[in-house]
Amino acid sequence: MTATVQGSGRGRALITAREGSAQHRTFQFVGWGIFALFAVIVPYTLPNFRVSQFGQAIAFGVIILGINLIIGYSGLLSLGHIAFAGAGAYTTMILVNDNRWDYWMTWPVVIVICFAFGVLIGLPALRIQGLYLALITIALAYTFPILLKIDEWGISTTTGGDNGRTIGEVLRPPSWARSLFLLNSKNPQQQQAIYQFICFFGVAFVTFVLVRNLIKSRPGRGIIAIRDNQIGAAVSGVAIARYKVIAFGISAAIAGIGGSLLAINLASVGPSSFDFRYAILTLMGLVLGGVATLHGNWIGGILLVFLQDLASRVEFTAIPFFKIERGSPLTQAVFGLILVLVAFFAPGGLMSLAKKVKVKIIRVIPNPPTAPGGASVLADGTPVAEGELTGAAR
Amino acid sequence: MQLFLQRVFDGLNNGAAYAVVAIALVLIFKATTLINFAQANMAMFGTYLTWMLATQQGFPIWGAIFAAMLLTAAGGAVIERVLIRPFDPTNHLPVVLITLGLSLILEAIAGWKWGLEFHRFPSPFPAKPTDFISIGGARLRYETVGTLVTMFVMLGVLYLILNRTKVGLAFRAVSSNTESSRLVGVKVGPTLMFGWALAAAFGTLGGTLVARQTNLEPAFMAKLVIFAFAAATLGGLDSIGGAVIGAFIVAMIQSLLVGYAQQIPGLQWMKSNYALVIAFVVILVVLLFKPAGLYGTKRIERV
Repeated sequence: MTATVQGSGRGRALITAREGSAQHRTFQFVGWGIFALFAVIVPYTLPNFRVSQFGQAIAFGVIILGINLIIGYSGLLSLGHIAFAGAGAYTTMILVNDNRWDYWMTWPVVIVICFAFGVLIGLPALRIQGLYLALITIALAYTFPILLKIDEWGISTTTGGDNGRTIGEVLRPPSWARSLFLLNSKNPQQQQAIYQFICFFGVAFVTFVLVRNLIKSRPGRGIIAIRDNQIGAAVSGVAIARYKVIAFGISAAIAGIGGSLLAINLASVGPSSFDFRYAILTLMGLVLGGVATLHGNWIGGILLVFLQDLASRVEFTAIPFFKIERGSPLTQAVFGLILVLVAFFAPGGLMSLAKKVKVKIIRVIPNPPTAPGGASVLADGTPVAEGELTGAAR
Repeated sequence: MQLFLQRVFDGLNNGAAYAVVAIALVLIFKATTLINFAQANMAMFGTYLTWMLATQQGFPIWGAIFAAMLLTAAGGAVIERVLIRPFDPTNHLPVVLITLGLSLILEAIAGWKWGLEFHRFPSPFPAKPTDFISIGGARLRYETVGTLVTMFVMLGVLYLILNRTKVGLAFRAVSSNTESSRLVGVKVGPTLMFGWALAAAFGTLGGTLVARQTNLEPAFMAKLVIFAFAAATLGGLDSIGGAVIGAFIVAMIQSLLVGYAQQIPGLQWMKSNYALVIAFVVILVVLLFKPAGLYGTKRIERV
């Protein structure tokens, strides 16, 4: 992280703009514009299965957002958040299939259940730290699919056991949405795919804004302070136990929402989507996008889905004694390789590389912070040391 | 009584196997304060090497085991030097990424090279249906005796290496205080490589001891390693003796609880497939009430 601060000092940016100036705002608008363009181009131009894949990427992005909140911002090394995503997916599936609930109506239940489940697992996290926490959460990721297969108490008939169950409901656009999103000229499958993507995109946007606001708020700063120096934070009056448990609960609830999205996207819920392998894959998505960055998880979700797609289709038969057939187990090595390579060469993930490009384009000089009264903290307006400022601007 | 004894014997067999893998985890934790999440698949790989040497190259089974232990020891040393040493051990995330990534790579290579199907593993001990000692009507199989003896021999060898050799002394110095041992001239790097080599070799041995009962497939150790994790946390992650005791406790709980669960109201669902749940609960409860485990050293943080 220090590297980025130093990097921003070196070299010359294309544009230098004061925070909040017209140039800076144009730059921000361009960023949002690309984001909005993505939301339009993907559903309206790509074939249905690609749209659905992007929906899946968003669902994984939301799961990874939850993991990011706990690993990246809280510094708690939880490898078991896939179990919370699974809990969300199964809750949705059971309510929709067995109780005939509307899909969106299951959400409050998903959030409450996953929050409670997260708090339950988070309570031990108060005493267990570092790799020990990684150990018990990895054990949770191993155990969760097994719990679903227990034959007693009707568990395996409700969850579908090994095979899982399909979901009887799809997101059908209501008539107002059909006219609003210009869907009337399209066939029903297309309508459904586009509508689902737009819903997912909206959900992703809302969770992103909520998490961003949380991170920038007082509890968010407390959580980050605990990560950086627990004792220091305690001395400064951060309620460590409460913040840690709540961070665990919130991140579990977000992962649960992601799981619920994944359930309706895949149209089925099975233990193999929430097993240990996916615990590693979502972790890969997180570090590939960038730990403790606000946008990295979306990149991670997209890469996770499309790398899997690629790995299932790749073939290599050029050299006779080294053949990789389609679907060969060796293709799975690519995910392991990515984990190792990221740890070595891009510890900040792709977002840190994007940041390096960004400082070449624009350098933002932040406004001096203002005291509660509105007066400038530095009366004469002299800027503080540059490194500190860019650090604060992050 | 007969049934009880039989379950205890089964527990002993599993306990010895868990102990061997747990010791491998503890060795690495002692040396580097890291948990090696690739331990299971390193052992799996070594077991496949053994299988290949024994069934395809015509090695006698024990010859194959020793050859594979040597090979994986070399592999462990290389992994430490190339993948682990560049990273700061107090920063946990990169090491978790590296070991998990390594684990995926090894599993993928094994699946590609040797296939995803089950292979029958040649038993290192007499394993005919008649090879057992009858005690009180229960069958104590030669395999169980052999596994136990192997484990204790291994413990003895480990004790001798750590307490009677120079490199063992260096290892103990490094695990007690890395900085000070560096100051008095211990070569920390090679010592850590030695620790990883030792752990990799022991992992392979543990794999070959259980492969006969579980059959060989790329994921066979991943199922076992959670029990080894449970054993090591129960005993204390930096105590070798604790790991052994923890392994037997976990194995006995598993064997007796699964065995008697049918008679206990509310526990009828507990069949051997769900024994992982026990391991999880053991890990959770131990870490909650005794974060350092039964015999582990408590870590005191200074501000």
